[in-house]
Formats: sequence, structure tokens, C-alpha cells
Amino acid sequence: MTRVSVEVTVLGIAQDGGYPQVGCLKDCCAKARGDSTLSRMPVSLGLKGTDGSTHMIEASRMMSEQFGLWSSLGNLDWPPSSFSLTHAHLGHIDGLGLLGREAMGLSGIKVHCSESMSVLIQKTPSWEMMIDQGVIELNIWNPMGPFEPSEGCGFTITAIPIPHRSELSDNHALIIRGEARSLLFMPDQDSWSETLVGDVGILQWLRQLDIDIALIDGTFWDYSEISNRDVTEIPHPTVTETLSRLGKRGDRDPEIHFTHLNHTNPLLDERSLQSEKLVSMGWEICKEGSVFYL
Amino acid sequence: MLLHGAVSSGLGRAHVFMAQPHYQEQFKEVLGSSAWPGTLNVNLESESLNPYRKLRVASGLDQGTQIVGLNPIRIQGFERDGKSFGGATAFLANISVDSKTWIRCALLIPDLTRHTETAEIISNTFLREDLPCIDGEEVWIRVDRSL
Repeated sequence: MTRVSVEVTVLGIAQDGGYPQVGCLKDCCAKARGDSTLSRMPVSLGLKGTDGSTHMIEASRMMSEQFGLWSSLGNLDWPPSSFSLTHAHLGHIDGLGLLGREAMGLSGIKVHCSESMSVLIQKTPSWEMMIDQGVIELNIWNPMGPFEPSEGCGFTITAIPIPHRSELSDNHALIIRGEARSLLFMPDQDSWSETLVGDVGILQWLRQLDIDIALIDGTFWDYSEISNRDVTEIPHPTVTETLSRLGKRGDRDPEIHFTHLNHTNPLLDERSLQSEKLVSMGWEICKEGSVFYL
Repeated sequence: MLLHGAVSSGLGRAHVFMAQPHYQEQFKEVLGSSAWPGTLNVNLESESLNPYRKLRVASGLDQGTQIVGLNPIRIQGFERDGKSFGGATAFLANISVDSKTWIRCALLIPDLTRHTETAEIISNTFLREDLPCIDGEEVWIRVDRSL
């Protein structure tokens, strides 16, 4: 008997601003402007269900290139049935308008999100118009309650509330559960001390959630990257802190892939010392075009 | 959570336990009506042993991290005519031979079971006829979870 797996394709691994980032004239982005193979798109996942339906996590402005990547891997069934949005910061939602009449002209696309995200969408005239025109249909999820993004797709999504600066909306991590494995997508969080409750460590938390693969916030390697910004305005746990909490990977530990990399993050260079250190500890750097089977 | 394995024959003694009214009353609450007086044994494939171990942890039989979202249902043991009948833990599930048509069932883990690689399935119906299936045939068991 054969079993068809749910496929999760990584369509972007960069922080909201992408890589290279507009306005950055430093070496990190100058070299990416000179070599397009180094550029990276804002975080996004493409999901393909066991019924062949396709679904997006996040709606970035680079959706065209992301669909191109997905299509080049042979996994895209056009158009996607749904989008699920973790929160309202720039790169996670700034491509929503591309579904509308000015670009793709789609209709009846399900947008799964939290209640506060739905309020924001309905209060934003250009997005509200898309609801009125039937381009998108909002579906508000219940936090911690699994739902199928489309009936019979063969997997569920569960939204987990995660503390992250909430000027526009709240923030959620998403658990994608296939029949065989489960993947956590948590691109943004303020701090581990707020995300983890009590004395629970990262690995124990992932075990409790029954996670096999975790794509987690790796925005900054450390705060020395950020010389011209107040980091308290853009809080994320650094990768160095996360690594010190994790230690080396054990045999039965889940896979952890760092994603949502800022343009300053040395993990964007696979040959950097920081990348070598992370990999030597048994953890991974998320790669565009990677496919996970659940 | 999906388990996969092959149907096998047990010792044929499960009906003695399954027919006990005290158990049947509790199975009614789990399954909605009486359970067929027998279990379907499924020898699990290697990939299913780790998820099955998580069910054993949730049943209190093995050590390990309790995962959230599983809903163990306690089946109480009892004594009758000087004989002791042990307790068990049930997990609501569905079972299928083709991953398309599913029959409601429960996966039962008796407290005193020696099985660590065999799932015992109970249902309102005689699964060997209703699925249908015979020894050696592969089946899927999808265990309910709420997260």
C-alpha cells in the first residue's frame, strides 16, 4: 500500500525585508546585489495536500518568484486554495493584494488567520475591497484548534499564540500536521522566555507539541549585527541564545531549521564560521527549495 | 497520528475480557454503543513504533514526554468472583484498509499488556468482516488528536 505525503516546500527564508534589503549599502547586501543567486525571499511555505490541493503560508510581495520556485520543483497546482497568515508585519502580508484584480484576479481564495488579523484586513480599505469583490474569504481560526485549510487536503494547521510585538495584529506559530510527521513554522517571536511557559526548555516544548521538524526564528545571529537600530524595537531571540539553550542535537531530537534571517545575519552565507558552528551542533539553516514530507 | 501495520491473530482470549459487562458499559461511553466482543490485533511496522510509544507514555505505561493534544480515556478495572480485571486506556481512532474508507474505533492499551509493537483495536462492529481484512493485510489507524 502506498501512502501519499503532504509536501511542504520552503519558498523563502529571509526576514520581511528580504535579502538584499532596500537601503542597505553595506557589504552584506552589496554582494547579494552583485550575485542574484545569493538573494533570498521573505519567509513563506508552499503546502501540497494529499489531494493535490495547494496552500500558501504567508503572502509576500515576492509571490511571483515564490510561485516560480515552487513551479520549477514541479509541486505547484495553480491556483493555491488558501493562504494562512501568521501576523501582520510587512513581509508576511504585503503580497495579499496580488491576489486581486490588479494582478492575479483570483476569487474565492480562503485566507485563514486570527481574529485580530481579520479585523485589520477588514479595516484596511484595499484589502476590505478584496473581500467585497469575492477575491478572498476570511476564515478565523481558533487558537490551539486544528483545522483543514480545505476539506480533504490530508493535513491540519494549528495556530499557537506566540508573543511578538503586536502593533497591528497578534502573532501565531503554525503547526502543520500530516499523517506521519508534524512541522512547526515559527518565524517570529519576541523571546524564548515569553514563548516558553514555566521551566520548559525548547526541546521539551517541541516534544510536548509532538513536532518532528521546527522552522524557527533565526532573525539575528547576535545583536552585534545591528549597529544603527535600537534592538528593543525589534526584539527576537538571537541564534546564539537559542543555540546555548539547545546545546548539541541528540539522536531523538527534532530537526530544527533556522529561518527568517535578517540581511545582516552571517547564516545567509553557508560558508561562514557561524554557519559551520550551527551545523556542527547538529542543527540546520533553512534553505529555499527544500521540501519536507509529512 | 497515523499508525500502520498488518492484521494478526492474537491468542483468541480477548472476548473473555471484552464481554465483561463492566468493560462494556465503559466501552459504550467511548464508542457510543457496545463493543464487538473481540479485538483486532495489528502488528505495527517500524515507523509506527515511535508514535505508538507516545500513546503508551500517555497511558502511563512508558516514561517520556507527555505530548499535548492526545485524549486518553481511562477504562477502569474491577474485580468479579475473586478475579481481578485490569484497567486500560483507550484512544478514539479510525481504521481503514485503503486510507479512503474509515471505520470508527478505539485503540486500547491494557495496563497489563505485554504488547509493545501490537495495537489492539476495538469497535462496535466485527472489523474482520466490516473492513474487511484477514491476517497479514495492511491497515491504517488514525488516532484522534485535538492539537
